[in-house]
This record gives sequence, C-alpha cells and structure tokens, in this order.
Amino acid sequence: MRSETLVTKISSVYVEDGILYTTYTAPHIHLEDSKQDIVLIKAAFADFLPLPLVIDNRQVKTTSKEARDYFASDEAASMVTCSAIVLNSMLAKISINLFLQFSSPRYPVKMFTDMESAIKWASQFKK
Amino acid sequence: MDKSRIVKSTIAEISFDNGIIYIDYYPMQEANLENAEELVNLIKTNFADVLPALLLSDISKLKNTTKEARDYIGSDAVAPLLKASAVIANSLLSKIIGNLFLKFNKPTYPTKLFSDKQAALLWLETYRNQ
Repeated sequence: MRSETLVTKISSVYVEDGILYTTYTAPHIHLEDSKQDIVLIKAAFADFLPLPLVIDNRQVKTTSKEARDYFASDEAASMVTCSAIVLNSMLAKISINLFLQFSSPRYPVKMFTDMESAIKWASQFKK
Repeated sequence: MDKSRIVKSTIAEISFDNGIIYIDYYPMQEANLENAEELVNLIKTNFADVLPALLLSDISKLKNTTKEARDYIGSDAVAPLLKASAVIANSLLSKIIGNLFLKFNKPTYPTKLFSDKQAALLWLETYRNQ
C-alpha cells in the first residue's frame, strides 16, 4: 500500500511496501534544498524509517559536491538501509561515482538503468 | 463524556473526560498565535480545576500551523498546564507539522505523536498520577 506523496521543491517522495521512493524533479540539486528535503522526509515518514531507498535520478543534470557530501552524512544516512539509484546518463553515472569515491556513504549504494532491477536489489535491505 | 464541559474556540472543540482534556480541531484550520492563545485561555478559564491535565489533541485535519503558534504551544507559558500531551496525526501534513514541532520546539512537557487514539490514551495513562 502506498503512502501519501510528499512533494517538495526538488522531489516527490512516498513509501510503498517497505521501500522509500524518491523521484528528483529538479535538474540541479543543491545543499540547502537537499537539507530541507531530508528534514521533511524524516518528519513525514518518521514512523517507517530507516528504509531501503530507491531514487529516480533520471531528471537530474547536476548534484553539487556539498549536496553529495550531505547525502553521505549521518543526518541522511540514518534514514536509509541502502540506496538504489536509477539513472540514464553518463554525466549522472560520473556524479554517482564521485559520490561513492569521495563522499563515502556508509550505506550500500548501487546504480541501475531500470526501476525494476533497482527495486529488486533494494528489497533485500527491507527490515 | 461530560457534555457540560465542552467549550468551543475559533478553531477547535475542547472537552474533558476522565482526567483528559481533548482538543479536536475543526477541518482545514490554520493555527496561528492568536487562536492558539485563545485556545489556551479557554482551557485555563474552563478547566482550571483539573490542571495540570493530560491532553489528547488531534491535528490530522489542520491545514497549517504558523511558527508563532508552534513556538507558543511549546513554550513555558503552556507547560504548567499539562502533565503530558498525546498528539494524533493521521495525515502526511499533520505528521510533518507534529514531527517538526517536536524537533524544533522541543516542548518541556512529555509530548508524543500517534497514529491511533488507543495507543495515545495508553501512553497518557502512564502520566496520570504524575
């Protein structure tokens, strides 16, 4: 069963069958919007967290370094058990690789080109 | 419920039963400083004999709360009136309002969010004799 959808400045977020789904709707992701997102997601879905996270990143063109570092921080990491990221561009893949290499998130992260595979992988991290 | 102890404010109905003050907000209201102060003053006036009390409020139907209202509700002006406050928040918006209140206002009285009334009442019972 799907929860209500939280719509923020940069994303659309809901919980369904034990997975947190985030679709980024903004082309450029910056630190301040990311911080606000995390605060709202934690407030809206406090009853469910932490959860496996499936991110639809296909509309994103750039993510700032500060935002990437923030997504790896304890503040963000405490929300998720893993992060499956669906993307469709070489630029996005480079950005995620930078995230993995330099931001060093302490939760499992994997890239995918389709939603179905992302969900299948993330499901193994359900509580 | 003792129907003689039902009071209506601009944004909510306040009632009392078995040691618990109930606040049921009307649909689509915005809680601001003015109507929050009105609510608290009505409680002080009409339920003075039972204070400090256990409080059960349902914010699921609220449209919005202003920062000034949240700051006031979480302040020391309200704390002496309450032993504990159980807040029912069933909608996404009300969960956000409730959790942000807890995070940023940090009320000095015990406050907890619930999705269902039964769990809220059970929790309040633990504060009845305090």
